[in-house]
Amino acid sequence: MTLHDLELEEVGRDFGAVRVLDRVSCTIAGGAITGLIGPNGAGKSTLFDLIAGSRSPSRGRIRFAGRRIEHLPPYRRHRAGIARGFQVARPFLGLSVLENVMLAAPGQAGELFWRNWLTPGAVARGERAVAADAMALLEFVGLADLARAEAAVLSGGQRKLLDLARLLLGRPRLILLDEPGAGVAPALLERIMERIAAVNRRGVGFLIIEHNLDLVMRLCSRVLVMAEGRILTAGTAEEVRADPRVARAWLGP
Amino acid sequence: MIAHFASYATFFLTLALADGIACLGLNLQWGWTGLFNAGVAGFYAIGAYATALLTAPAQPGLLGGGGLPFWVGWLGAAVLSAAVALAIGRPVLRLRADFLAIVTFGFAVSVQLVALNATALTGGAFGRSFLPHPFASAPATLALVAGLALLAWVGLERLVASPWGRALRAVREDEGAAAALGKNPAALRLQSFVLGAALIGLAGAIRAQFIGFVAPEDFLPVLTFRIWVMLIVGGAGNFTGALAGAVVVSALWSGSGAALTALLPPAWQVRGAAVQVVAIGVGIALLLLFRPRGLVAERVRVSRHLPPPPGSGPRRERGGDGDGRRHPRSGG
Repeated sequence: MTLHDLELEEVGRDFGAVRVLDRVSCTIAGGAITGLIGPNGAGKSTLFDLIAGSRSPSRGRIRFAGRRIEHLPPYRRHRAGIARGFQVARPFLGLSVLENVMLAAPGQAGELFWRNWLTPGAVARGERAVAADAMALLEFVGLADLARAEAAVLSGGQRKLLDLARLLLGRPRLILLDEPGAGVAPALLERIMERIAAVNRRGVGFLIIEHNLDLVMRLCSRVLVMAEGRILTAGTAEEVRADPRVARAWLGP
Repeated sequence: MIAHFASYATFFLTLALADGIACLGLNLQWGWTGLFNAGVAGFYAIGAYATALLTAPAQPGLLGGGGLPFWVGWLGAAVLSAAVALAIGRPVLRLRADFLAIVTFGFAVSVQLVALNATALTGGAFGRSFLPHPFASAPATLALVAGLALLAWVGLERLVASPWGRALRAVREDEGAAAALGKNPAALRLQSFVLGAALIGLAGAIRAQFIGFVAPEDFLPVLTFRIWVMLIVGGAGNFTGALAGAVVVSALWSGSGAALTALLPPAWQVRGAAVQVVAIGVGIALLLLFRPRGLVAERVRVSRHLPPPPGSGPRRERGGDGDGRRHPRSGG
């Protein structure tokens, strides 16, 4: 058990009469890259919603670093160290690429409106520091040249890289990625995978939903398989691949 | 003749700049936060009656009448308007955006009805009069109002060109993504709504004080409409545009009236009011046809602590990139 484990205990979610998630219990080890796979409609994205807080669970408990979080609103979970990327990247199109990243910095003095009138010097210093951090991250994902451009000019793959940079600025302990490989050209995908591995070496944990099994096999030390709203099995990539139940869940009986 | 014109210009500019201050407040709410405040007239009325109650001399049969200095009335107007916005915004801003429009519209109608019927407080249909003028000379009053408008403009420009403004804009564009990045959408929206309402309340107080009189008929929904037109013509999302829009639309409003009186044959004068509405409508339509984003368009860069991007001017027109979340902008 490490410091930033994410523990799910009997977590469930219903939409009306439809039970999308049945009692899901598992522990996602802090600092590891965990894969989450399963056929469409298995409840993977809903599970992300429950962890990140954009939906509340109908039942069950969620703990992060030993603290109950299932009642916290999304912005408080981000502050607790959980950063969530979306299946389709959602940059703020009206802001520059740089400001998209800067936005994610936690605890900025200038976000308290009165400080912009009362302590403009402190706000300016904070902005310089955040801008430097954001530029370093844009270098890291290879978007530094586009820092001043409007985010609307980015391609789909570049938006995913921007999303990654934005997630990293908050110094999260756990990053949830929803299909980082979807709709991304192979060369760009290599870069994204490289970056994920590099961030992980610094001790940041990942939970990754992905349909591209090669990516999952290469990156993830542990894989959770979901089907029909529950965890079907869990294990190393090889164990999961060898499990006949997994093939059945994908292909039907 | 010249003296007459100067005195009219002073009168006109004072009222236009008062509306401009309201327009600045509305721009914070709509242009920067996407809050559809359909009850501008309500906050205007709160401000106007607040200063009437605080500064007018005591009159038999009427409550209030504090006889206090005008600036106490204006401060009280801004504070009361902000407090009312806080009370409305706290529950409503957690809900979907459309609810704010419904609630604020209902609020403005209720305020107007209360003004009409709570006779002891508001003087009923006759209103309250004898509000003391800020200064004996009209140009001094104009200078004060212009100073306040400038102060509000500078204060707002500094306020939004900052991490706060950036977070506000992010919430406007995609609330879910902003929350996933640690921003508290409800708190940001509430702050913007309350600050904007304080300015609208102040504008109401300035107007009432300058005219020396408040009555319920000043706060019909057409007032809300007028401030909105000013913002859209000026360019939503830009404070300079909001002030420019207030002056231009005020000129259109009163200029068309004066022009019609001078130009229309006597037999048509009766229909002048209807023709004026048509003239204003055509004028606004032409403005928006040639400047769809308003007189002054929104900027891309937010934080003033960053260097401006190369070749950055007004925001480019963008075709639909399939993103239905974008902020609806009239004429955009």
